[in-house]
Amino acid sequence: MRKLLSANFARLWKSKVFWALEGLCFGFGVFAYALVAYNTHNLGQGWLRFNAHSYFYLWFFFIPFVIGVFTSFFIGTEYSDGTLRNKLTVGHSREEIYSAFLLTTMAAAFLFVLAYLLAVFLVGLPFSGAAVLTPVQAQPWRLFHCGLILLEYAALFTLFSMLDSDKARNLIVSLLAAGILIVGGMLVYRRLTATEFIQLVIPQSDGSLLLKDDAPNPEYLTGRIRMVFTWLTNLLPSGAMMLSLDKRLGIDWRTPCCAVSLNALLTTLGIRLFQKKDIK
Amino acid sequence: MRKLLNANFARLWKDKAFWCNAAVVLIVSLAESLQGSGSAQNMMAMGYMVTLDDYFYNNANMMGLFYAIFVSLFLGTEYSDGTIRNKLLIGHRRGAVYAASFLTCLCAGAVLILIWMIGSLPGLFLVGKLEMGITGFAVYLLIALGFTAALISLFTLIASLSDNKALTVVFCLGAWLVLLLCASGVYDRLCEPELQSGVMLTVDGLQTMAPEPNPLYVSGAMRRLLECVLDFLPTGQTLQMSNNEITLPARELIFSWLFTFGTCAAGLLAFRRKDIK
Repeated sequence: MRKLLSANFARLWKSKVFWALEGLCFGFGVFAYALVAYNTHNLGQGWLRFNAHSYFYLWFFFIPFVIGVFTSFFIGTEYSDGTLRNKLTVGHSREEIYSAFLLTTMAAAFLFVLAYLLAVFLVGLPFSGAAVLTPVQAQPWRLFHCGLILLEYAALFTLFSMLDSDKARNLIVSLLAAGILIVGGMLVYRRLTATEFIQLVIPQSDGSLLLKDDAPNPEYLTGRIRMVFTWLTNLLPSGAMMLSLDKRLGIDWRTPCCAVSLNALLTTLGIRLFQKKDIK
Repeated sequence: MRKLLNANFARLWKDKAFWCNAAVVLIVSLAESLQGSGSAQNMMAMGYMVTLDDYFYNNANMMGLFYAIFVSLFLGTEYSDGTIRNKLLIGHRRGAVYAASFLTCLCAGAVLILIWMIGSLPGLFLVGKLEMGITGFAVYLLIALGFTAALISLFTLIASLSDNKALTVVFCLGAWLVLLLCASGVYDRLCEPELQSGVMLTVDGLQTMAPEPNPLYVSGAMRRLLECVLDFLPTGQTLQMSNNEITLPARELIFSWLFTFGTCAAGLLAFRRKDIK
């Protein structure tokens, strides 16, 4: 296992795709925090205090795509170059190989996020002030939740890449899965967080406008459907991430519990299926 | 050239990626059509004037994604299996190989448009007929063929120059995404209203504010330029089609033809110089 990890990390540090994605994450962070500096300059510290949270966690929207591309290339190369077969031939077990790739992907996923966060320190702090770090100072537990969800993404995309030997096909599947997860997570989260009552503005016949408070919201979910949506949002990594990032919501232990359970489930399933895979 | 086309089409009809793509287009179109029809029926029940035209072309925006996936997989296989080298070895000219690849992908694109239209048919039964009539539909179909040709020519260029299939997928999807983001940015600016007004909650209740000029509104020569950019970009055309907002179809068709011609010419020139290992 130690040898497999050493080999994986040795290849990781030399991987062009890894460094290109690191550069992309860092570049995106620089762009985002340049925008923050520009807006803070024009709109003041009040704007920054309100928006610091969204910008700090902006990486959430692109990290599934980055991990999907990374695993497709990194693990796909093992199949296309035949190194995976060599590892099996020299006596490494399939569990060890799978676990080594999972750990390497998890480490890479954290490094991608770190590259984005590096921009917070290099561009955000000097140009916008310490307020850019308020999301971490106020609720550090959110970072812990996000870390667990990041591991979930790593487990999911490792599973895809370990089971498909076609690099290009796996890349498309991973990117589509990332897109569907993000959109699906946002949709279920939006339905779950719809308020029970809304304000309606009704135009009157004399041209005036009537404000009606406490009108029932047709989007509000009740009963069993609400329970299903609650669990679905917690189970989907993107839904859980949206819940973890919602400033209005407090700590919810269902989110980390679901993340850990899904992580274990995906890894077990991945190892089982990889053991049965015919590696030509 | 005829032999190349025969070989490409023989491969196309057996290509799993193409049929998977076609199945996804059908499912997405059906889903869009049913969802759009449901929205239209709700809006009609509330007394709003809506027509099927507002929902029929919703899927236009997604077509670029399907073309990118299909072209990158179909042409990427030529490199990964080495068939492109075989074609050159037996004496086919590079221009003919490039043209045959483009024409095959274009035909596949036309088939995907047909499937998209079939998937949109439930709207006709659930909402009613298209208000634009058969002429309007034919014009929209021509524009769809135009942006299909433009996007496929771009993806053919990328796929012919990249010999790594996985990288081709990344580049094609990236190109589509960048074009879509550019078109969305331009479209958003053009949608800014000239005057803005709002509602304020005061002690006397709700008051409507007097309209004020919108600083984000683009006017004059800049507006005309942005409109040209939106019409020129194939993704700008898909955006306008999905919102049923095509105003100058002739200009869009000419721009599509220019885009296709430009990318084909550039692709052909670059492909002639490419070192095929």
